Amino acid sequence: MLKKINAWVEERLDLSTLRHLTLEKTVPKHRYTPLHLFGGVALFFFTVQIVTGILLLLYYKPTAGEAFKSVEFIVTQVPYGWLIRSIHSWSANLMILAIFIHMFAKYFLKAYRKPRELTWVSGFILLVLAMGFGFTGYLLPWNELAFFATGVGTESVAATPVIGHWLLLILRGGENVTGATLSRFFAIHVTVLPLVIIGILSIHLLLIQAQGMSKPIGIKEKGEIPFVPNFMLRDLMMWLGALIVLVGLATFFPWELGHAVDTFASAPAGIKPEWYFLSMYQTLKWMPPFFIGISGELIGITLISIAGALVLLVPFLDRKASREEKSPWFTIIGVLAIIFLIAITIYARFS
Amino acid sequence: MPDFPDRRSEMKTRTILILIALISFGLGVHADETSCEICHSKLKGRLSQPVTQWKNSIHQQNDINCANCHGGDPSAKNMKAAHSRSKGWIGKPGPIQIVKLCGTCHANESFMKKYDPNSRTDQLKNYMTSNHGINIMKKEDGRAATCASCHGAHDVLKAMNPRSHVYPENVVDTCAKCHGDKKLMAQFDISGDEVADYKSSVHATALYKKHDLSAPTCNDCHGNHGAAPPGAASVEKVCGTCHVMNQKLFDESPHKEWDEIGLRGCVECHSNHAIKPPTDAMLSTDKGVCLNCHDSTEPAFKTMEAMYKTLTGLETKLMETREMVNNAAEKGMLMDDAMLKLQDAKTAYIKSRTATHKFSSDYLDHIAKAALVDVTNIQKLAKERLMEVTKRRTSFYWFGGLFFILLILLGLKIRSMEK
Repeated sequence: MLKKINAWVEERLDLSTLRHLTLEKTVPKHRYTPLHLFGGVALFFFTVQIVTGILLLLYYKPTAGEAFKSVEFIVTQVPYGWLIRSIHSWSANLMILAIFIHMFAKYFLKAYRKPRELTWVSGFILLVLAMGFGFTGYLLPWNELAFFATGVGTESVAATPVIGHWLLLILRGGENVTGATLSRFFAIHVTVLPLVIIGILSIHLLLIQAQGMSKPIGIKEKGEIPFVPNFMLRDLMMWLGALIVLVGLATFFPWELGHAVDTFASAPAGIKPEWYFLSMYQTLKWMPPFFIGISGELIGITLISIAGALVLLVPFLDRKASREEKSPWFTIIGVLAIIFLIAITIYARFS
Repeated sequence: MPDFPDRRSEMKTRTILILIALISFGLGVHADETSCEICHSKLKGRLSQPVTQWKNSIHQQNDINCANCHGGDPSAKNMKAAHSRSKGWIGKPGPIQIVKLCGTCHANESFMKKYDPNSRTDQLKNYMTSNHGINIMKKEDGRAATCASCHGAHDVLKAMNPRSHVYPENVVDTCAKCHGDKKLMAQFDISGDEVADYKSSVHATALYKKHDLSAPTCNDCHGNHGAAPPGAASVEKVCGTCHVMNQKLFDESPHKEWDEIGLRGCVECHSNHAIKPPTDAMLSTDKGVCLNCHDSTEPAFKTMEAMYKTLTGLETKLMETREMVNNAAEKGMLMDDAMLKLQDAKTAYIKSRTATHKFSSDYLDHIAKAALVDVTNIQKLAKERLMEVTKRRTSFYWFGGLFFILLILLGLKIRSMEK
C-alpha cells in the first residue's frame, strides 16, 4: 500500500531532494555537535508559538475595551486556556533565549564564515523579528504594565532624527498609546511578522540544507553521522526536553495577567521591559540628557544601532575566519559581549 | 499732562517712562517702600528679622504694612519722626494690644470681605470665650496665648499654607511651644504630657506618616480660637464629629448616660490624647478595658466575653482566608475576584468592630454574620482554586514523567544505533 502511494506521488513530484535529505545528508560529528541543536530548539518554540497563537486567536479580542477581559476569560473560563496562554508567553521567552544561545554558538564556532554569510545575516534578521514579536505581543493583554512599558518603549523611537515623531505616530497610531496602538500591534503580531518571519526562516533553512552544517576551524572530526535518523533523533530529544521544561514552567509559574489598564492612573513604579530588552533599556538610561548638544537618547539609539550593525556584518569583518584561519580576537570580543550583556541585564533587572 | 513740543518727542518721553516702569518692576523696586522697611532691613538681628518675615507674609501681599499695627509715620525720613508718639507709634504691642489690633481688621466683616468673601470674622468673639482669651483679656495674665503666639507676629500666613504655624502638620508643634513646657503648664494645673501623648497616637500616625490632613490635631477637638478642653458631656460629640457610627451606637448603648455620673464617654476606654489603634484585646477577659469598671460577676463581663469571642473568631477566619487567597495567587491562580470579596469581608469586619460600641453581643453577632458569610464564600473559592493547582501539578508530573522516560529511551536508542 505504502509503495503504491509512494509510486503515485513519485509520478507527479520529484522527491529527489527529500530523498537526499533522508538518505544521504550527513552532519559532522565533533565535540561541539550538540551546540548545533539549539537552532532546532528555537524552531520548536516557534512552532509552539504558531499553534498556541492560533488557539489564543479563537478567543482573543483586540480592542481596548475587550482585550484584557478576553485574556482573563481565556485563563479562567476556557478549558486549558490558562495552559495555552502561559505556554505562549513562556515559549516566546524561551524562543528568544534559544536564538541567543544558537547565535552565540554559531559565533564562537565561526559558522558565519564564507560561504555561510547569508545564513548568519538571515539568522540575525530572525532574532530582530523575534524581538519584534515579543514587543508587539507584550501589549496585547492590555494590562497596566504592558501599557506603560509600551509607552516608554515607543517613546525612544521619537529620538530618531527628522522622522522620529513621524515614526512614533505610525507606531502608536496617534500621539499616545491607545486602542489604536493595540489594533496595529495586533495586526503586526499576527499578520505582518508571521509572513516576514516565515519567508526569512525559509531562506535560513534552505541555506542550511543547501550548504550543510559548518565544520569548526581546526577541530578534530570524529566522522559524520546521518541526518536521518541520528541527528533527527537528537533534535527530537532536545524538543522533548524543551517541551517538559516549557510545560513545567507554564504549570508551576503561570504567566501573570496583571491589572487592567487604567489610562488615568499614574505609571506604576519600576516599569521595566522584558529581559531581552533590558540591555538596551539600561544603555538608554545611562545616557545623559544631552551631550555636546545632542540628545542622550539619540546617542544611545545610535550606539545600539552600531552594535547591531556590527553583529550583522561579523562575517564580512572577520577576514581571518573566511580564510579558514583562527580569529582569537573575535572570540575574545564575543566573550566580552556575553559578559557585558549578562552583567547589564542583571544590573538593569535588580537596580 | 506735560506739554510736549511735538509728537515725536512725546513718543520718546513715553517710551522712556514705560522703560523705567518696566525696569523698576523687574528689579522689584516698590515705589511705596516705607521708611520702616528701609531702616529696619539695614539693622541687625531681631530688629531686621520682622522685615524679612513680613515680606513673606499674607499681610505684605495685601499691603498691610508695619504702621497698620505699630503706628508711626512710615513716610518719615528719620527714626525720631517715624517713631513719633503723636503719629500713633506704639512700639512693640503688649498681649491685650495684640488681640485688639488683630481684631480691628479680623473682626470687621466689611473690611475682611474685601480680601476674601469667605473669610470668617468670628475669631475674636470665639477667642474671648476661650481659656486663652479669658486669661489674657479678663485676668490680664500675659502667659496665655494671643493671636501672635499661634499665627506668628510678622510671618503670618494663610492657615492652609504648608509653611504656616497653624497648618495641620505644624499646629501640634505650635501648641507644644507652651503646652509642651511642663514648668509653664504646671502653673495652670495642666500635666504638659498632652503633646507627647498625641504624638504617640493613631491620629498622629495618620497625620505625620500617612500625611492625612483630615486626621485630627489639637484644634480639631479643642477648637481653633475658642480653645477649651471638651467637657465630659461633649467628649462623645467631639469624637462623633468623625466617628459618626460609633457615636450613634454608643448613644443606643447602656452607656449612653455616662456623662450623668461624670464619666467621659470615649475617653474612658480609648484615652484622650494617646489614642492607640483599637484592638480586639480591648475586650479580652484578662486585660480588656471593660475591667476598669466591671468585674467577672456582672452580666457586662459575659457580654464582653461573647463580643471578644465573636471578634477574634472573625479575625482569625479573615486571616486564614487571606492566607489561602495569597497562597493560591502565589501559585499562579487568578484571584482578583477573591481579593475584591476579601475587601468586602474586611469592611464587614470593621463594621463588626464598630458594632461593639452598642455593647450588645446579640447585635454584634447579627452584624458579624454578614462578614462570616463573606469569609466562608471566599474560603470556598480559594479551596477550589488550590485544588485546581494540585490537579494541574499532578497532571504535569504524569506528563513530565512520561515524556522523560521517552527522552531516556531515545537517548538509549541513539547510543545503540551508533555502537
